[in-house]
Amino acid sequence: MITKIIEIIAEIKEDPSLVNKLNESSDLTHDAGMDSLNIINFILRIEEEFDIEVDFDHFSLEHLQSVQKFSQFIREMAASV
Amino acid sequence: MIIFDTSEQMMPHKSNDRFSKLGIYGVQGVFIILFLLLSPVYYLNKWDFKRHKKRKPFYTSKLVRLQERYPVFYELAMYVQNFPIPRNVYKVLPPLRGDVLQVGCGTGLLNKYLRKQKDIRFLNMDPNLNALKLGKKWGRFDAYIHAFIDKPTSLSEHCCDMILFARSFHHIRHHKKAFIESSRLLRDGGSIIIADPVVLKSLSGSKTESGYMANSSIDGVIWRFTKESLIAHIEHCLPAELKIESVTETRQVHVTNYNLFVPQTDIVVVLRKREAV
Repeated sequence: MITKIIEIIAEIKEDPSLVNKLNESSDLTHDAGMDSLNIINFILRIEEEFDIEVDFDHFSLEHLQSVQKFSQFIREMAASV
Repeated sequence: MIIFDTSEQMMPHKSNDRFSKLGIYGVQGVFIILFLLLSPVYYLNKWDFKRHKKRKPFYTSKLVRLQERYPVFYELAMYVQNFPIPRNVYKVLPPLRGDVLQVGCGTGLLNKYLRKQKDIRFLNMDPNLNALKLGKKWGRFDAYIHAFIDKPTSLSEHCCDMILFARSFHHIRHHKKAFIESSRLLRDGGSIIIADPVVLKSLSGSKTESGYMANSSIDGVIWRFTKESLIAHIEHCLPAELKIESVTETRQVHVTNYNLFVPQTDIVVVLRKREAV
């Protein structure tokens, strides 16, 4: 899941080099440079990829502090479906 | 795919040029007046929105929440945005008949516009229960479906001849899923009509020209498209049995299209479901 998340970040940022630069401890806003527009489209792409629905009201930037943390958030979302 | 571009039809011949230009200057003037009047509300809402969005990218602005809770404010906003003749936004629609599922019917403004047309049986769908209740209370429709089109609905398959997204397509989160459900509900040979405003030039700054979602302080989390990116996005999302039949552009003279920040135009895309073999 970590690899797929990083691939999607690189796709959203239109920067293939991020696939090699990012790892599970990377911060999605600082290390990947995602702005609010990128984040919305990233979440949308994640929903499509993992067939889950992210509750917009319960999502905050804290979930993006690391790829690992975000992956955990996705797992919790998938479990609640 | 057939593309009809009627953008010039609103300002076509020399005899009408002066009248059309006056109309455009008129709505631009109205936009300036409305903007001056409403700017305290707009900027206060935007300030609060930006403050919250730093932590919560999907934060719903107070203005959007107000419209969701009290749809009468939504109607008011529609009148302001589509000034001078709000109902004209529906004039671009092709003829409707039979069982028509209206996705995102809101309070039933289209039902009101077409109330004299007896050969349409509307199925009214919206995710906002407050809007549906108000539409029913005001007698614009008798029944409604409280549902999202991008999730499986309780409607039976092949229940409608047409599915209409009248200025609601940009609010739908997952278009692929919406088309799959629409195709299930649509009879063979039936049509899907998407009428939506699009921006005249891209705002994303992206290297590639594609539609994207953004959180707007006055419209919530919505898709933003240019004409080209809308068509490309629809083609990308369509299941095999649905095909684009026509694309029409008509830039109507109203405040939203001729606002001084983000000029827009109105697109109508007609999709056709393949006949059963």
